[in-house]
Amino acid sequence: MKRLGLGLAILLIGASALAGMRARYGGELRVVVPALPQAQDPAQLTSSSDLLSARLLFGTLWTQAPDGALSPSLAAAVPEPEASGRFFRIRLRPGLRFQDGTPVTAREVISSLSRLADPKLESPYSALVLPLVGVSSSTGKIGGLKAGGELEVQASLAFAYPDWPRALAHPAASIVLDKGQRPLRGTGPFVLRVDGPSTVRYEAFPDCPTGRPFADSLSMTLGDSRSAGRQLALSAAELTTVSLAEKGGTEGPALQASYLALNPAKLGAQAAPVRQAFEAALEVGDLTRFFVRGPASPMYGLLPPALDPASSAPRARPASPQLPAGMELTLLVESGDENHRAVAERMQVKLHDLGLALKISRLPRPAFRKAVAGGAYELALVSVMAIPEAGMALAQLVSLALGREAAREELRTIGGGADAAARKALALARAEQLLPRLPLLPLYAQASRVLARPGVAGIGFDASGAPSLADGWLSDPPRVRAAGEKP
Amino acid sequence: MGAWLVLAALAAVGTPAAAQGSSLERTAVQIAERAGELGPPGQTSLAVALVSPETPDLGRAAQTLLVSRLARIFRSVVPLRVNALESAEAEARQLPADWVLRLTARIAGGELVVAGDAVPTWTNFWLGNSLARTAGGLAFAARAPVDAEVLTLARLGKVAGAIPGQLARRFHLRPLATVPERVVALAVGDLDADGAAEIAALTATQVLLFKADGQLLARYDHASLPMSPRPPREASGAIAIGPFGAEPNRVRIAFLWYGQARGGVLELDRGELRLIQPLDAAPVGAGAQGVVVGAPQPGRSALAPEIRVASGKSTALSLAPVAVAVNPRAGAPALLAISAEGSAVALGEDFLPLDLALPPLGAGLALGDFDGDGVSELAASGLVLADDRIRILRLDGKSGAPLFESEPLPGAVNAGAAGDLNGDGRDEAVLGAWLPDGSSQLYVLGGEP
Amino acid sequence: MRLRTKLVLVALVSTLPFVVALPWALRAVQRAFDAELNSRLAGAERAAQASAADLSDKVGRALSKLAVDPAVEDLVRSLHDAKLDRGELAQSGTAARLMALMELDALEILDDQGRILASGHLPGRAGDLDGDGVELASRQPGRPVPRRIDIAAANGFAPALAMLAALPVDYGATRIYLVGGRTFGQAWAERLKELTGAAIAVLDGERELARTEAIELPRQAKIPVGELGSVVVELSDQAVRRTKSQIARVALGLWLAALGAALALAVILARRISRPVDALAQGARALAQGSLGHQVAVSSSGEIDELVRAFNAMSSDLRSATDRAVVAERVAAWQGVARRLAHEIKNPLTPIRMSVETLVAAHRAGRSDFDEIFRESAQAVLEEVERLRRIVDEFSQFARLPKPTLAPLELAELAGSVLALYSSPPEGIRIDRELGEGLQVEADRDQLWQVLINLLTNAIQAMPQGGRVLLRAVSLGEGSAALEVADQGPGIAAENRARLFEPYFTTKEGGTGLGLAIALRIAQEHGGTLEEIGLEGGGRGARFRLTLPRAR
Repeated sequence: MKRLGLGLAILLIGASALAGMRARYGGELRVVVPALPQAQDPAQLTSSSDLLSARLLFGTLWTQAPDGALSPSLAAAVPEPEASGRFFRIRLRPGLRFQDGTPVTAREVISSLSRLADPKLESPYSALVLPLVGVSSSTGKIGGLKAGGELEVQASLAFAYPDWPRALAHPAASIVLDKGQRPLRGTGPFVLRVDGPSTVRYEAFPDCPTGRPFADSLSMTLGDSRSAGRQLALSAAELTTVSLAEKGGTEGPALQASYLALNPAKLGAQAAPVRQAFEAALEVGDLTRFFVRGPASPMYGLLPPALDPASSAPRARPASPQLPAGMELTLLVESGDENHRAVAERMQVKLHDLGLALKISRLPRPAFRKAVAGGAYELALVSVMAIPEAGMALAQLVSLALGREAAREELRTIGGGADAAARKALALARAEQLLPRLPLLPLYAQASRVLARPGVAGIGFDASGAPSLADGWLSDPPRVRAAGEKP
Repeated sequence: MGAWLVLAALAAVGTPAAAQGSSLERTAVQIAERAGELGPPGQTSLAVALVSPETPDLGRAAQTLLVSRLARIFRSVVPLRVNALESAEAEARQLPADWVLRLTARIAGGELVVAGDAVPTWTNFWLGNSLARTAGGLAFAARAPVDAEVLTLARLGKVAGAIPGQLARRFHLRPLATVPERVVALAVGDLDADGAAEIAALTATQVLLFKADGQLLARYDHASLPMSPRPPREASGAIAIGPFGAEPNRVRIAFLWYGQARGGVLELDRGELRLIQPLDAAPVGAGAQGVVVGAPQPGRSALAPEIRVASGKSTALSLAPVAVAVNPRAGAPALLAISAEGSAVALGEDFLPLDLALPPLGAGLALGDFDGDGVSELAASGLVLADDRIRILRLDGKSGAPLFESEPLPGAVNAGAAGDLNGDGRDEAVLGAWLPDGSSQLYVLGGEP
Repeated sequence: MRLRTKLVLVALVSTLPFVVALPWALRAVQRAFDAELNSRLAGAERAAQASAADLSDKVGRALSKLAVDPAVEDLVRSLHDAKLDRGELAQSGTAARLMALMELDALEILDDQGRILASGHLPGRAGDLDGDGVELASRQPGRPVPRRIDIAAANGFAPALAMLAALPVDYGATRIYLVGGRTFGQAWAERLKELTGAAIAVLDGERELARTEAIELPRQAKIPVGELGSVVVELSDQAVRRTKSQIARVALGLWLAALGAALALAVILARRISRPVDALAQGARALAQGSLGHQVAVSSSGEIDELVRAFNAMSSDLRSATDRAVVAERVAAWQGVARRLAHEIKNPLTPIRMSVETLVAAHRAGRSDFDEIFRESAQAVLEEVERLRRIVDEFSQFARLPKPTLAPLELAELAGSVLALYSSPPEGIRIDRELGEGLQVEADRDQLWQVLINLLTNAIQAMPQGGRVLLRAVSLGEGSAALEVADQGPGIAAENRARLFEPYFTTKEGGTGLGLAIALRIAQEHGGTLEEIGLEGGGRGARFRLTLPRAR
């Protein structure tokens, strides 16, 4: 009883990175996640679990700390802008290898970045490469990327965009080896071993360029808040990203932004009054507080408050518009997303009060993405993993709503700013201007939160909002069970 | 019998007016105030465990007093008679108690310190009614100058005239400097042969040299050194001040950042640090036997379980050290190394293992004679995840009680070194704590002048 | 009216009480069923009331239990310690779980401001204000009251009537309100239906919120749920109506069967009774028409048989008596006729003998005036011979009177054509007519013609000094009509009246005495009568009436 009582104690980590002890190697980190990663491809990440997994499997040229500092990872250094921000020289660290032993060269860097522009992949992160010269919209080939030897990539931009390297710290810009095999090879601290329907298992990659992970292996299993809480309490799991009922844990920046997408093609003349109806009916703050589990902040502007502090300021809500009597609309929701389900139910209730019938249609992720990409929806709840760079984040949204060309123009405008502060101000001003013009109604931005059982240390976040599970370690040595002892 | 008399006396003086004067009362009041944060008093029940291993009668008196004070406030307060605090939570869970207070009373630095924590023992619906802690704990620390009552209680049951050791000498922990990065290793040594030791600190990008008063003397940027193809994930490295390099009489700084392919030896030259030669080994310290180095393991922050001294003699250790303290003075132990798990191994002057019973230790280590009694003590941080403390432990095997224990520090102490900073013949320990914002705080721990 | 008809009528009439009793019986059945249905309905209503009260009680109990539940205590404590994220609370399904645990249909957790922290029945309501809940909790804590709520349903949400109760729960300075309730929903209605067997509907005004089944022709009891709506308990009238109509159908069938049976019985009885009676009647008619000795050949039994036998015997007796009487009468008649005839014939013989004897005497006497004597004598002889011949002719005519040939005949028309012969009556005679129209008889025109001529001639001859003759055609009721000839002559002397129609009785000079006898006979041949009835008012004169049966 005594041992159990002590063993079950949950300590919500926070100061764990400050362990008065050195990191220990070994053991397994068992992570309970609300959804298993579905796309083990950095160009395709759409959920926090995808992001989590991408951080384990793949490495980027450099990483960005939550405070914005860039530190080189695969690259020997973070490149300085040349030619007034229209040219970057990326030098790779020598001797890097992918998890299968293939050397990491300039060629892989170019192909990895080109994947983002590949129309077949429909990557939500194409904005990352839009500033480059010669991005082909049909093949995804990028003329502006050239190899200057084995270890150097020369990137020519069509217009000045000095903040480009910051954007490339996002896991979507991970360097991968794509020779048609799946899973993709990366340089991340873990190698994918099992990608099962209920469990995903990873093993440490000892030669990881950013250091071997402390744990020997890591597994992700699916769980809800009750099971995650229990498993943590019983030390049946080390970590969870499932949002538990109680506060605590370590949070990353809130960059997973949710929007209500209105399809003007389907709504026609009703698009404006319908948007107004939603704006009038929904108080985004209440919506976030009561209908979004886990850490989230209401988003009144286009960009998440983490990028645009003005986004967290409530705006005046319009009066309820006159809607045709008996109007019925269908709201498309991805079936795995419980927050979106709850938000959709809230919308249903509030719009009912305005006399508008809202039907909720839930689709599994592939069908949902297909419907949204194909414009086969009236209203949809979409979520975007925002790139933690205001200009790029805005370009992401513009690309989603208006297409790549419009996004490129935004980037061109924003990149023209004199310095970083001016560029950011420009981006935020553009976001404010675009707010009523994009058919996207901002709702909330969500962050990942990691809760750990006592004895787990080292977990932090990067600027993209992904927890660094590879930094996690077990402060208590793995307990050997006595014979006959029940787990 | 004596204890009861004292208890009766305490009960008699347990009035608010007396609370102003009595140490026990004052600590009880402080704890009761903090306990108010546990929940609405009328709806909260508490169990109180209070132990005092060295002065059990003091513990019982303090518990009785505390319980009576808390009982005025809370719905129910149950005293738990336990020998070890570890069993308190389990016992409290058998009661209808919402929280259990786990406190230790001791006399330290001339003060009565009652400290510990409160952990929730109510079962939570959302965690499936399993026996899980439903909330984070609450730390308690109350202190009051020792008064006659306390001393009387502390002496009860002891040999006449015996005074708890903590009262004998006072140590002082003072901040020295802050460093914007994490200090992974520290070294103390007289680099400029001025009789006063300097302090060298290693961070991810720099080697910093401080004077004993914390003034920055020089810095060296080592970030341009080539990266290791297999760096460790953790910020780690080694630094030492000693006769490194070709000239055995010249004192230099040697360092190795484990994330880099090699380190170097630095010379202080007209106030500037200059790299004079590269270094492949991990310089862990320098003592009476000369410099001591270890071998880094690719991809890991722990060294290989083997160390070499200047003579070229190599000694196998029973563990892979993550921190090594080298005694700057002659005498045992000459070296103490700990593993990531906190277990320690100590070597004597002959570099043969000593049989020392040590508790699990943290990575902030320093060996030295801190009280000037000619016998070496160990300054060490705890193997904990939070609320780290620095203790001075005696290594003579006479008593398990630390000579000193600091207050909880706002960070984790992960680096340490010792040397005579002020030339008073006693060593001071320099310790580096990692702060939550990624910076470090350097402390100096020494005796009162 | 024929006996058969009477019997059928009697049969019909005999079933009449049945017809009269049927509606009464049906009404009685209806009343019995109604009473039963009403008592069942009252029972169902009581059960519904009890169930509603039970539901209400359960709400109160569940809420009281919930208020002291460790889970709720945890919840408030967590809120108090600000350890619980509101979004987590709203979306963790806590309210839904507590709701299920307490078997409630609705549960809201409100903060001290009345803001919904979590809603089990409509999670989308979290964050909204529910001032009613707070008011409810402060005014009548724990007491269920009817309320209109929305609950989550397949397509968004559905309205429901519920009993809601609210309770505050405190933990330190933190207060929450629990608002819980159970709905009068489909599940409740189904349970109640199981219990009562009645159809249950829950109405909000006119809107139907829940219903177990639609029944036709319901008999309803309404239990108001506050002022918001009502629970309607319905029992079908249909069983009663079906039973009633079944009874009616069976009764009608029975009645028809009885009627049929009665009719059949009547017909059979009528056959058995009326055939012999008919045969007897026919026999009587035949008898009346002269078919003496007519035998009724019907097998029967009982009194009818005796009657038939008696009739047959009577007929036989009558025939034999009549035969004997006829023979006797014929003998007597012929004796009379022979006597009359001898008398009539002897009367002329005397003058003839005297004339011949005179002639012989004169011849012998050779009387000079012989020729004159001869002529006178011869004249006398011839006259007498002529008289003889006439006697013989009439006699032969009387003896040879043929059977009448009956044909439809209008009396007025007949009278008219006869009167045409008297268009210029003798001096002093006036013939008047009063001829009723449409008096149709079956008669032999020639014979009636002869009768009428005879009567008119007699009338005219009775008034040598002139007078008025009145010919009338009159109806004597449904069955017969008559021709009357009245004169103002001397009338019939009382002593002659009895012999008036005897052959060869006459009071006239030169009359043969056969005219009225023949007329009577013709009348009799037609089934009619001829009689002297005297004048109306007993005046002087004679009036003859020929009565005839009217044609059908």
